[in-house]
Amino acid sequence: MGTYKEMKFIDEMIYETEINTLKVYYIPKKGFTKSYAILTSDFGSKDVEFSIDGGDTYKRYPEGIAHFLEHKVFEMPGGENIFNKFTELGASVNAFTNNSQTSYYFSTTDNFSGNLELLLKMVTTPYLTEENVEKEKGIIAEEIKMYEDHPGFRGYIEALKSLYYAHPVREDIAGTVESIYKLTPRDLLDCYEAFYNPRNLILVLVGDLEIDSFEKIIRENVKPGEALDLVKRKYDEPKTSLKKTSEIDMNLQVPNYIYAFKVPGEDTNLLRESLTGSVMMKLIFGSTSSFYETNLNNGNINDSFSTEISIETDHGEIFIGGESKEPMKTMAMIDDYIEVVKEDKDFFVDRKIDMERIKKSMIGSFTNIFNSVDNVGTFTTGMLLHKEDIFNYVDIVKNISVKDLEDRFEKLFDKDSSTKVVIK
Amino acid sequence: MENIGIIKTSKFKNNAISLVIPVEMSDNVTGYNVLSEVLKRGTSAFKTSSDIARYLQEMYGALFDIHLSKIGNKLFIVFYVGFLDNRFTLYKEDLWDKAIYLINEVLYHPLIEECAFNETIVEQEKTNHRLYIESVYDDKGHYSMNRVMELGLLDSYRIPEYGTLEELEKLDGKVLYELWKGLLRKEAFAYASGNITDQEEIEGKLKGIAILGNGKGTVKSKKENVRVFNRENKEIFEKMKINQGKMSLLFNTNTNIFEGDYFALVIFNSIYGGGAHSKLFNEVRENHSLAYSIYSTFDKFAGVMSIGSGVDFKNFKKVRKLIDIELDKIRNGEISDEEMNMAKTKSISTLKSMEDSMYNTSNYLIALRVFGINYEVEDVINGLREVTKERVMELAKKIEFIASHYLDKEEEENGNI
Repeated sequence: MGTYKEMKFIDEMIYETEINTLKVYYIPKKGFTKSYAILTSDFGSKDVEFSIDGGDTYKRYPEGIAHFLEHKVFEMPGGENIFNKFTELGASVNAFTNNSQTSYYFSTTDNFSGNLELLLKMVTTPYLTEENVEKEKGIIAEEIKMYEDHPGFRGYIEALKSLYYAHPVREDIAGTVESIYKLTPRDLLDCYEAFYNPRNLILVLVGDLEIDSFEKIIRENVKPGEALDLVKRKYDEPKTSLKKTSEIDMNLQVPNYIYAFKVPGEDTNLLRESLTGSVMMKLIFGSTSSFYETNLNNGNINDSFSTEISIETDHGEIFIGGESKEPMKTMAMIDDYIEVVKEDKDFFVDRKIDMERIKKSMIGSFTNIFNSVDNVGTFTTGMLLHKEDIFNYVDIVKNISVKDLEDRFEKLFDKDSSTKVVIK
Repeated sequence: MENIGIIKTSKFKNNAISLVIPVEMSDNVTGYNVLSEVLKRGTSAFKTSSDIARYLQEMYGALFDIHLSKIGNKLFIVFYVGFLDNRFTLYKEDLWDKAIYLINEVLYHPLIEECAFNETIVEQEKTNHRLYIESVYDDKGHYSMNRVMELGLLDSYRIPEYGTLEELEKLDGKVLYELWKGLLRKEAFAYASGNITDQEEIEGKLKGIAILGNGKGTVKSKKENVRVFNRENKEIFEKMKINQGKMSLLFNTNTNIFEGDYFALVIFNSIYGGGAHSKLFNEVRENHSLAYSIYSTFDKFAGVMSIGSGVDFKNFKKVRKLIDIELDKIRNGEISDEEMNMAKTKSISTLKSMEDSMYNTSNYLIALRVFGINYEVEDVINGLREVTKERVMELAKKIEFIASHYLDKEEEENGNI
């Protein structure tokens, strides 16, 4: 039997339990037609080098291996088409890989139990042969090529490559055509055995469900995982960026630009630091900032302008981007503005009212996540993987102070740790 | 009032209002695009778009936007506001009135100077829209799909929902002002959804949006909805600097929601190219590894179907051949029970899960109402359940290929040929 924890302010609960070493979380959503399950391994594209003997020896694998493995997990012995099985049971199944995780999920309006059983079977049954691994290379090569025609994606990868010297976050999640052609079934199996152990997986369920019935299915379909001594390689990255400017020629009608900064990772208080970073970015560049209002009105930017801050335990980035006919000029203007903010000692103090309003809107946006079973599932998974406390989300936002923003700001926007990318 | 719908549900944290004004695709579509941006740039109470953004933040991060979508031969201008229900606001504040105030401000009190919109703002939004139209050119799959619509159609459905550069050049503050005046006289539809206990109260609030009181019957459905195909462009190749080829095909289904076997069309499309369970996906991607993506889709009001795919250049012909082979299989009844079941389960499940999104439900229902179709979601589900294999075969025989567009790789300038 698991335990319930309440999120009083938004009238939600989370049920937590562990079944055969697998951590399971259930968020009840009474009255919803759709239910959702998402099973996640903390194996992401950046985990290309790891040790299975507690850190004594490390082995490096080709870039793109986590994503490649994601594709192969759908393969079942006997050529059974798993997509079709899900569809027959009324579910849509899919998966994604990002820097830090691989997730498999389905949503369904019928037969949740049957679909959950199928999902668990699929992820716990590796089927890797020389032949099916070879075949997948062609499909993934096409996927890589498809993204190469995407200006935004190309720019994003170029920015990461320019920011980082060695950290694998600089590589495309799918790898390169060269790297994936080096992969062998043995490599994939190594990674599978290390990262798809139930101790390394988390299962999040959302919907109008019966606890007894899903617990039974999990018990029957998941065998306890053996103890693990898995250590991921850590990277020492200099504070500075590798390359300050770059240009990609794609024959675009409208150039895009990305201005990116390296942000130090945060091992402790990750959620607090991320949320403080978000409030700070909204105050400086958001749609209610003086920067946005002035420059939109005089035509220097348009509504393609956007910013993002992302902080992980071992890396972090700020991205400022948009479209512009004169991208270098636009980025120079952003530089000037950052200098102004740096010199204005009272910048955040003067914006206390704005800060309170932005915090209020963030509480509303958080509450809104609970309007969709899919969003609840993916959001909760992300929080759990980062060991962030979803129950304190609202309190953390409420308690962010001007001082917190000033402290956060001081650590950022160093030109030596930045890069400017133009895609034209 | 028939043009106002209410969906009562308390399972969401928020409430929402969708106000839809349908206009003709043959109208000034580009003008409406720019107008919808200009309307968001300020009102008499909110002088700038940042003022609107502040108001939304005060409403606990409420969502507001004006979306445009092409549905059949109409352009839907959708004003949408989603806002927290008072069960979840910090001081139990009710936000319905604030939401309606915002819609009224944007729709009725934009920044006007002497019978024209502010020229500076109009010029900026024209520039932005020009950038947008040009950026579609940079999204190769989207571009190729638009090209095949232009190549294969002669009626207003060929116009992309964002309009054209030619039309854009003719816009100014006065033209947009006249367009706006005209818009206010059109028939509009609205759905309010959320934690509604007193239906009359909410209906009363919606009636505060004057456009909902306009006369009805301006919207005609069937007769205007006639496709005129151009059968002269069977195979058009274009070259660009790209890494992966794109192919787009256009078909006339000879069927739509007004006439013919619409329910069979839904099931047919699902079997043919409507997802990872479909024939095209399994043959082209899974069995032959020829493409990463391939799909078919259709517009139930316009009666056209398209196929899009990202394919390596050398495989264009092979994929094109498979597209014909798979269509022939359906025509000849090579449809397994499994395929029939999957298509039905999948299509029905999509409809059922719509209930979990206020935005999707209200948009789906409004579209049906605008075109004078009185189906409820349940009716559509029942209709789909009854489709037989024979009906799908009959439907497939009516599918007519019209045009195709291929985006090919530009040869390197110094390359040897």
